[in-house]
Amino acid sequence: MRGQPGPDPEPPPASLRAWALSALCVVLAPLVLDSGLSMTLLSQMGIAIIACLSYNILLGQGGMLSFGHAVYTGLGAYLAIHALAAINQGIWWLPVSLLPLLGGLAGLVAAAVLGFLATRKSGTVFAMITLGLAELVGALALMFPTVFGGEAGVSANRVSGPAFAGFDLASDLQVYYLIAAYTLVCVAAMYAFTATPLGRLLNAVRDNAQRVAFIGYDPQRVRHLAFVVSGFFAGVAGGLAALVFEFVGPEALGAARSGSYLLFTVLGGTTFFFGPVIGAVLMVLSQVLLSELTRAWLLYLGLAFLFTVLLAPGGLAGVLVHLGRSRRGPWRQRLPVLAALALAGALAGSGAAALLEMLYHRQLDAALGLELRFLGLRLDVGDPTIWAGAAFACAAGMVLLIRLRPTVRGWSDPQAQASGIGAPPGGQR
Amino acid sequence: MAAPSTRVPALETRGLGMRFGRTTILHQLDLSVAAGERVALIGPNGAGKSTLFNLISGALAPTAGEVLLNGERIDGLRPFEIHRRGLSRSFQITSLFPRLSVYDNLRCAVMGSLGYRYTMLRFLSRLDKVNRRTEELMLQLGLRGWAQVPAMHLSYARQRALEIGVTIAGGAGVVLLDEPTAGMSRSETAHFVTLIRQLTEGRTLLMVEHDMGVVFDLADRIAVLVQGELLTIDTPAAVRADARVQQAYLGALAGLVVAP
Repeated sequence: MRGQPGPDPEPPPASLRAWALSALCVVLAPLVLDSGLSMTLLSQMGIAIIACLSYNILLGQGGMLSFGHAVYTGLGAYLAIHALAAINQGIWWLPVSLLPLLGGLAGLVAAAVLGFLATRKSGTVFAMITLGLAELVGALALMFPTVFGGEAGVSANRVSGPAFAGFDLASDLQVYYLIAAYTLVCVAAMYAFTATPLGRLLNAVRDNAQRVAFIGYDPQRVRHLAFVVSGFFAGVAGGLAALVFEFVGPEALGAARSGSYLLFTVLGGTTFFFGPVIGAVLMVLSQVLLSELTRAWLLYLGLAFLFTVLLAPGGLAGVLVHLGRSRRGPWRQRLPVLAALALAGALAGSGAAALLEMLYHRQLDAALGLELRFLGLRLDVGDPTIWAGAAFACAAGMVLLIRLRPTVRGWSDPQAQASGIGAPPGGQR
Repeated sequence: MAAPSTRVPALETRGLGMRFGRTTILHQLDLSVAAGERVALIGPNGAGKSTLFNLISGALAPTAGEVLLNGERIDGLRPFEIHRRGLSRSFQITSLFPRLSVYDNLRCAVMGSLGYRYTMLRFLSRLDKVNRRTEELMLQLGLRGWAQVPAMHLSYARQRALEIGVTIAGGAGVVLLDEPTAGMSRSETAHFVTLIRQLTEGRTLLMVEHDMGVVFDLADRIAVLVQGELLTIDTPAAVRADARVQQAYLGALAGLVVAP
């Protein structure tokens, strides 16, 4: 089952109720999560959702592995921040809440030009071209400090210019609602895109570009159009980011940012439309919260990515859909095994994490003493029995997991395959 | 039908040649297929049948000569341009969209011919003409019950049927089929011949086929290609009697010829 491309899931009935419910949650969220931190988190999630979904138009729907998506979010952000600065100085007149559309325009134009080069090829060559273009744009950004602000970046103030429909963006709440509105519209638009002739043709190009040419379409043109659509939404995300942070620096165009779009989109799952939404939420949570919790957060992310690619190429969305489907079937009989699985996973995970944390503590924070706080425990890094205990927990969990593997493997049925577990994130060619 | 028509041939090659370096694959090939005619292309392995298909369909550009579709030159055009001018081909090795459903495989091929080529501002589900045509095709192909099954999960025979369906779905007037019955059981083949006959009704057909039963059953004329040259092109009866053909096939034909 692994290595073989999984089928496209049947498009779920775009139930109006699901959309209405999501919209209601988005509107009501600030009533529950009203702290400054949660407002910021939610706003960033909205931006990340647009960015990751736009990335998945390339990766999941078009089989195009791009290593330079930050170029389009970044250029969108730069144009928006410059426009905002111009509004600040009174040179320009434009409602600030429309700036993300300007960002989208920048992303669209950049994608039209750069994508024309990249989309002439597919597969590995496409990936290499996007990487090269990303490096090129990154280098250019540092060569023109007057435009890109050099290392210091460009700043502006969002509370300026005429208020549009009552929005002056003075409060976090207004910023949140602006982003929420853009996110809802963009998600709906990108979802609609998957149901258009071009959207379906893009899937066909992903599956078999040569055959598309022999039924009367130019696969390069299909890829290019999709690239432009993706670039537009990426630019909107960039424009929103410029408004939220009131600052854009060169890292907005950088390889690290491109990498994190790739990583979290795959983590969330590329085979389902909503997979990248999960990925985007994780992206913000891990970059803001996990990075506070532990210094080894990038290491955990790398591990999570590795496990996803190897064991659940359908990403978290694939796993969730699989679980949701099997609930209707032999869910009850599987409950004990699932519980054992969770226990083994927790044991192995916490053991490994304890070892990692102690290692990090010894290497980097030795000056702070031998004591390390971990999961509410106080661990003495100098005590060999603690190390042995953590190693034992890790090993025991692993052994349990390996013992459970045959049982779990027996579960894989056509439905499991249809869930996208076992599907590679990209397509061939 | 066998008599050469005085009208412009649906498909014609003039002095068509293909060389890879010093190796000549096709040599000065003149082939003419009249509108509505069914021509089978036979010949031993390595005779250049696949190369000829690749030259006509635009997968390769010829090193000499011309290809004409309804009197207009198509050599040097790209495959999708040739398809839009009304020529479509199938593949010997099944070439579908594995993760798309049967329905979407066909729909992708149908929508372009009805004017929805790179349409981004309409919903597929609302394109009634496209969906009706796709339903019809599925019925004809006997794939109605498999509409939502991904192509990758179909049986081999159904994949072969879908391969032909995708080939003709765009409404091409000239159809090239590359070994449509390869790898099928005898009973599947019999069913398939009927299917091909139905689906290519009123179209011009050029077909590479190794199953002589199928060839003699379907073809109005048979073209024999040997070592890159056209040995003969004639009615099945004449080809069967041709001593050179017998020789080229080293008697392999003799046993296979079953009068339909």
